[in-house]
Amino acid sequence: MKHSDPNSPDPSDFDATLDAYFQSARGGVPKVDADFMQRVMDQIPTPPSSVITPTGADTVAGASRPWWKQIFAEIGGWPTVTGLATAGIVGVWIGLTGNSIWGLSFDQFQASAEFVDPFLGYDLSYLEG
Amino acid sequence: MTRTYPPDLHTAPDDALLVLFANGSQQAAQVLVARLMPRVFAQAYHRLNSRADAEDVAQEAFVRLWRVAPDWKQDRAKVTTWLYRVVENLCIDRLRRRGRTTDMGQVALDPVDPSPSAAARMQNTTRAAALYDALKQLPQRQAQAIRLRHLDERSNDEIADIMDLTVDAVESLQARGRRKLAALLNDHLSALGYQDETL
Repeated sequence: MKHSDPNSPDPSDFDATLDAYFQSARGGVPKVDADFMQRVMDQIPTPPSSVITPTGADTVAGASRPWWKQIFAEIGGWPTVTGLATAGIVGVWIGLTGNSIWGLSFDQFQASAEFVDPFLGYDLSYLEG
Repeated sequence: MTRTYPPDLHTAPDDALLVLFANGSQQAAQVLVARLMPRVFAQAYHRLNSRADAEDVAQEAFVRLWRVAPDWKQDRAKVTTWLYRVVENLCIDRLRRRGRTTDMGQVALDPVDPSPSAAARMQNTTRAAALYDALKQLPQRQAQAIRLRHLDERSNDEIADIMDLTVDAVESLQARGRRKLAALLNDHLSALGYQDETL
């Protein structure tokens, strides 16, 4: 049955027919080809190595890093650098403030060391002739 | 290096799979492709009417998805919505480049699934071509709402999300679109001499 006024068709009529058209269009979509699917699967990249192993020198990407970065990583990275820097600063400080840094002069330390008997309980007189 | 996976990737949500991929699981990406490819391919096919073109677009869409995966924000968008928009834009670009944005109905359709009889295939092809042609004559938003609902088979909630509209507005677009579509198809079929079709 055709409607005389196409702008106001019977909804129950055109709904069913439209659905048949949609069904035809949906049914016309070919199935996804297995080879194509495999191609897309093969194109999945290796995820970024930085995400997988955020630190450490054992990453695959590590092999292509500059030599100085590899050495830097081998000696311990930033923790080592900060440790060395701290030790250096303390060394310079000791050097500048002299031997009274601990409130005890080196002479005093040496003098106090004389009281220490390195052979406690051992009579040195036996060694004398 | 030992990688751990959830017990069943097949039940994991799309965005969780994408995050898993970004953290090193290619298997998660494979599950995502297997799950979403039919829908992505069908969307592209409905726009382009060509298997080769639809495959190119679908492939490119997934390549782009892998690129954005490391920066994916799980609360920002659904993977399916993101993919829909990418595919839509890729299709528009492709149609523009080929200068056939207004001739979808005249493009020869690829052979369909061989299971129906030759007569049924012919009828399906004719109907699909007429429908694609009529859809192009609808206002763009109406056509989009109709395509999403009836060709891509999205829920109205999802369509509202994709189109940045309320569900009521989507339903209104679809109702108006369907009325116009019925009128257009009626005229189209009359012009082609299909007197047995009822609209």
